[in-house]
Amino acid sequence: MIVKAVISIIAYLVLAPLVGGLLAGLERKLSAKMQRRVGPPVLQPFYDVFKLFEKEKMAPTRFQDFYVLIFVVFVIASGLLFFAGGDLLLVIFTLTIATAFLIVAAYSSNSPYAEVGAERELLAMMAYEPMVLLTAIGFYMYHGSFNVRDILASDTMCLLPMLGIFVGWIFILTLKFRKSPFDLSMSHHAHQELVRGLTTEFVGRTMGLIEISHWYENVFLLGFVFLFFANGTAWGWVIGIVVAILTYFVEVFIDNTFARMKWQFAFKASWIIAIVLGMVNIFVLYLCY
Amino acid sequence: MGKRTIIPFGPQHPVLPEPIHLDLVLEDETVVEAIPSIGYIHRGLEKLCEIKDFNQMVYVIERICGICSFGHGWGAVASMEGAMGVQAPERAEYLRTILHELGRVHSHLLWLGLLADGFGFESLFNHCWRIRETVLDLFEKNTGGRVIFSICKVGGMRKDISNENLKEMKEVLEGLKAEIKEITDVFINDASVQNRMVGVGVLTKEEAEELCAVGPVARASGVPQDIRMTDNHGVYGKLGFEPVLEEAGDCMARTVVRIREVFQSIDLISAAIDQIPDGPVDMKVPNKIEGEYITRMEQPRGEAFYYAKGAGTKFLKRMRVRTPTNMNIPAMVKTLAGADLADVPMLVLTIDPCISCTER
Amino acid sequence: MSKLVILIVIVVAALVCLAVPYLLGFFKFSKTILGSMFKKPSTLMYPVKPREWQERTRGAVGINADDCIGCGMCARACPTNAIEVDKNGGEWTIQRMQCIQCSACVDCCPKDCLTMENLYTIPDVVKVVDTVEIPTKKAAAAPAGGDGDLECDKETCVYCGLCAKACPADALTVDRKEKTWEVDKEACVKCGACIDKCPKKSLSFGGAAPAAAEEPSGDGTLKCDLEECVYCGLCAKNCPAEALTVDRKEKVWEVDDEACVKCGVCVDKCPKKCLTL
Repeated sequence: MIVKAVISIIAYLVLAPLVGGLLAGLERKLSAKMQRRVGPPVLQPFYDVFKLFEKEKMAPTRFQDFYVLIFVVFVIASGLLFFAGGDLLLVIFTLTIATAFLIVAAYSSNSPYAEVGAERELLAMMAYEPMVLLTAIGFYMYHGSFNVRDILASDTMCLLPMLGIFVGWIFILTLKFRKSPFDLSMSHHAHQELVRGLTTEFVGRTMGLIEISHWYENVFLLGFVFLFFANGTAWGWVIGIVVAILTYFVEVFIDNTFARMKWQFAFKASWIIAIVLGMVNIFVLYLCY
Repeated sequence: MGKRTIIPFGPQHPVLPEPIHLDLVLEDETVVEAIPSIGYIHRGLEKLCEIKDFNQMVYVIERICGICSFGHGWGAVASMEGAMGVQAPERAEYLRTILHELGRVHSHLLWLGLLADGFGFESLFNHCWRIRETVLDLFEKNTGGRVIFSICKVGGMRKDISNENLKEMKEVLEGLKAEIKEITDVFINDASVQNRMVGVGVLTKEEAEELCAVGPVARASGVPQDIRMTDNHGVYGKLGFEPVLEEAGDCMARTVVRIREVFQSIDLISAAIDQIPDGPVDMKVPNKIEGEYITRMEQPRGEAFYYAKGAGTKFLKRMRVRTPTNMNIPAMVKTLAGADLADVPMLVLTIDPCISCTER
Repeated sequence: MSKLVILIVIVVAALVCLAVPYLLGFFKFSKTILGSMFKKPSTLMYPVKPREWQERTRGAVGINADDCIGCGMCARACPTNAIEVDKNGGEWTIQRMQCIQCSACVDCCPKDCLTMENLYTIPDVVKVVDTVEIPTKKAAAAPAGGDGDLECDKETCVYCGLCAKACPADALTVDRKEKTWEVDKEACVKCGACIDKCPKKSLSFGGAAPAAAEEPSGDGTLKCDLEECVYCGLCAKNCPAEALTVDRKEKVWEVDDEACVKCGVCVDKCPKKCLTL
């Protein structure tokens, strides 16, 4: 048991940034295809990060780098807890703390762009957090445990009874991945009223670390998608992984068909989705299981 | 009420292709006041015109702006022709009208792309610019330049465009209509775009008149202001020109005006190509400029004004250009007050600011 | 069985999730986006894959140095002062980064030795300056032998004004009525364009004897053999004095003897050789 957990932890630590970076590269290629461009090479995200690490170190305050470091550690920690088969609630709280530290880091820079970006990130957190919690509760209601280990060991696929929660989770992934229509706090394209919002004041190594931790984060957010399909058989594994990757590309598609919405819309939409799909689904689970 | 923050917007900002600075005074995310300041790219082109003779000057004045370069060249040339008292041959006037309208198509497509980028719709942006590339290729084929055409001169055109090339241009543009429609329908019909633009930054007809708005900004508020219909310029009178009008006065109306103008320009080009007469495109002009003359032009962004005063030699005593963006900045500042921070890019972009025009 | 149900439910759910926003007005761009994935990209992997130039594309100024006479017209026409011509030193210099490709120099070159090439100057980290050696004054064979100021043999001159029309520098003033011929020595660039154009060969650069003009035979008035004439109008088009009227439809050929300067251009141009002086 412990050996298995250690192996998956090491695999996560090594493979997640590779998979995350590759996904980011494929995303850029796919986006380019959708826009009738040739696009960058698939390995471009790695080149970008390597370049960031070579850049001059510069920060408005000393604390900023410290906060960012904590953010990175907590993001990786939440992924570790997840892949080691830990408690879902703990995973969610760790991730929330990580994001909180990123926001604090943005605030510490004292730049108006970063500050407004941080405010919007807080609003985005408030928008997606209920759905994240409902997802965890949904898993508990169905499997009777918050532990990822127990969910994986289950012999039934929980997708059908949790379909509403699944759709809600896909919805808030747009917020978590910061894609259009909800790339309010920072955008991957740098073209918005806030320059680069939350991450405006991060440069060089710090920015590189943030990029890498986003890759970690993306991989284990897609791991959540996988959980919906796990039923202990190889067949469940294959579907789960395929759907997880598909989900990522659906997000790219949504990114390419939407204008950026305002935070009011993001807030309303995600709470309505959380209440309608999440709560109803939880209620159904309560009645049936 | 939150504490007031000042967000510096520009002069270097991702939304803006050109440097203008706005101090956005914010309460939470609401703009209470916007203080514009310009002057970052003054190049002294008007002064430069005084030390270049009138043939060289056309190349200088074209470089006022990279988007409406043909319009600027034509405007300056028309004012100098007026001062000399000569009239360019009819075919030259037709060719100028065609190229000017082609310039409008390319300017509006570029602007649609920038607007899409302003509300974070990157794929729409790329598709707009992809279509615009076809128009640039037409320019390159017919004039030799993609951005700066250097084909207009005092007394006519430097090169004729053959009738075959004009026919091909018409075919290409008519074929482009379907593609442009596919893209512009997204601007008009997509709910996420509507959410960002309908009812945002309303400028009423009274305000537009009071603030002297020009061009598409005025026309989107229902002010029928278009030099192509009021002045006897080019051959617009023979093409049956009617200005495009919208009533709402919001960002969406300003977008719709420009979208309809793209199609209207293509129709004007087709009509002009159908009735263009054969004949010379160039004529001999006097070697000196005396007297003074004022010309008004309808640029893609609105009314531009050219004043030329000759020094009795090959040189000009004074060249004065007033550009549309200059006139639209008050309207922009007016709509900015009370807007959401997220709407600022839309409000700045819908006047289609051309700062290098404004500062010359 | 259960797997099939799962699959159907997933597909239905996915469709509903896409259809609801579509009905609300979202996803209007999806057709274009999805269609684009199966089309060729419209961008080029430039510069690996080179661009196709149009015939008129203005890239960079080229020079055929052998024909250059160092007159300096191009340097004066250049709006950005990018060109410098050293006639005595035999050098033609262009500041490539200062050139704005307006092709004003190409248009004004009296010898047509400047051309507009398609390919632009390759970007560089220094300001590229190209210097081309041009024939110096002594080496070049001046059109009419001499190297002094432009002179006109008033004996043979018919004041047709062809020289003034050909002059790229507007240095010549010819008045047919007043019978005056003047040259602005400051403005003259000694390109020899006028000498080539003169129908009576009465122009020359001082010092050299003007080439003897071939006197056309005949009694001096212009005549047309109307049997041969095809009324093409080439004579009228080339007449410097506009003394000829030709109408192809009406089959009319008329000469205004008062206006005719008897330069003989029409005789040279006539394709049927039906004109005589």
